[in-house]
Amino acid sequence: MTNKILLIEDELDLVEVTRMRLKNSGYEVVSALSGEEAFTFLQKDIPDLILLDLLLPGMQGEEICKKIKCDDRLKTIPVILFTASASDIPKVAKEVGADDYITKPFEPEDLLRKVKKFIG
Amino acid sequence: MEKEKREMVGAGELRRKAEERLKEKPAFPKKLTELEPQKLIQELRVHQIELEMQNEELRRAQAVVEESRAKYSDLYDFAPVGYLTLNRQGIILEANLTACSSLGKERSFLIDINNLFTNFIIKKVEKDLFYQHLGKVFEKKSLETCELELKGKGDTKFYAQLQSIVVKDNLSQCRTAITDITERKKAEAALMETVKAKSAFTSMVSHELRTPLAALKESVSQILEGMLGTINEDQRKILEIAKRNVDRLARLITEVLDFQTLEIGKAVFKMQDNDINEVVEETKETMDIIAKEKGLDFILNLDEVLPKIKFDRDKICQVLSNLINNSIKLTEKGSITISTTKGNNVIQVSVKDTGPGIKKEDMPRLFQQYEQLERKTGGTGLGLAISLEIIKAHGGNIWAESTFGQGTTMHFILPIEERRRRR
Repeated sequence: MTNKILLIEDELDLVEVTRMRLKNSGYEVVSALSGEEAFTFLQKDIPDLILLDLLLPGMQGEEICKKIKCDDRLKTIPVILFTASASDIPKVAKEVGADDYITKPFEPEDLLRKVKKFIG
Repeated sequence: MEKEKREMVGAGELRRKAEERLKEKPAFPKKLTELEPQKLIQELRVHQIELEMQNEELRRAQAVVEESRAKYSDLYDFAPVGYLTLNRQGIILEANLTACSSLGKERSFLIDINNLFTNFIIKKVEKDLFYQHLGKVFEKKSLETCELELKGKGDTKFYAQLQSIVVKDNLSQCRTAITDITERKKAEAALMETVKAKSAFTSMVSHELRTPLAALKESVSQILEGMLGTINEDQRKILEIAKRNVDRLARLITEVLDFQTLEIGKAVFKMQDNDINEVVEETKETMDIIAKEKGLDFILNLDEVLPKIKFDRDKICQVLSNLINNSIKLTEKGSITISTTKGNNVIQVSVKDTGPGIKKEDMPRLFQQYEQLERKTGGTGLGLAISLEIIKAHGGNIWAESTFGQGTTMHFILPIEERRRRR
């Protein structure tokens, strides 16, 4: 069975290239452009991993992550923060309960290595 | 004893008093001989002149006192700061003209028996602060300071710094100097705004530049890797140029952000026991290729018995890479030598090159942000500014030694014992 990744990211171009990269490595990618869209998806489906941008329209990434990690049905899904603001990201990741983080622009190997770490 | 009278009296009054005093004295003891009156008159004349001279002297002394009093009164009244004398209840007993003008009131109004200084304090919480200040002044008898917002002339208000101290020969009063610090407060607020704006700008740059860069880098990488189909050699060459420049742009943005984070003291340091020689060797290894490409000798000269010390491995690596990179970029032939030595409670690391060296007049610009002594090397001009911030945060020091035309040695020291500045 193919592993399913939920990519929460509002930059369409980045969604497209990231989807291509992950698809090429054998993952199925579902995307959501906002937190609201993501939770609509999460109500009916459970992905194997979530890649989460922090700066989003409406609900911010930090809040989305906390909400996921508080939800008994969702909290075991690994969340990797996917962000352009690098300076205090390790601290933020810890605070919101994320499992890992990756900064943009990323090295393709880094992205795949971190994804593999959680869902093989 | 007769009481001495100091008040000025009129000439007629003086005569009357003198005659009265004379009556109290015994009369002449004997009849005067023929010559004695003349002698007496002569003596009286001498006395009179003496008295006149004394009088003149007194008048002069009094004039000096008056002049000096007027001078100090002027100094008091027209001092650049307001002066008040207050009692324990905060009632204004005295005020100089500067205080009157700052508070926008006549002196007679200010020193009214019922006029409390707190009437001029705008915020309730600051009235409490003032009473605490006054309490401390009388209790500790030391110079105390507090900052308040006060009512000024008309509807105006101003920020004031109060400095109060108890009057030496009257412990129930204190003297309070009022300095208008509105301009300073405004400047502080403006500075805060600037810092905030700079920080907001940086995060904007961070997100708005890095996100499209990520999409661009991924697009180029995917084609370059052949993920989307085979490409020919020319296509590969051009795409490699694109990727190299995307990476360079990404590095520049990272440097700007790194410096910003260090500068505002927000950088996180992972301080752990580390072997500096190990870090030097590792860093050298990653840079061996570029040194070899330029045909430079890369020499290590390490003190093998250095103790482990606490530092952030990644950040010191960054400093070393930066120093070595600068040396390689600027040195056309010869060598780069990295050495480590133990000094007095410090470990010193030096990177020596046989490059062009630095002119004496350029030295002060070396560690300044956005400065580049050599434009051709292409960078942000932040490398050494970042290195300086990192070394400073470790409680160390970094400096350059150079003779123009004979190469440069960059040194940094890290403390062996814990005496680091907390950040």
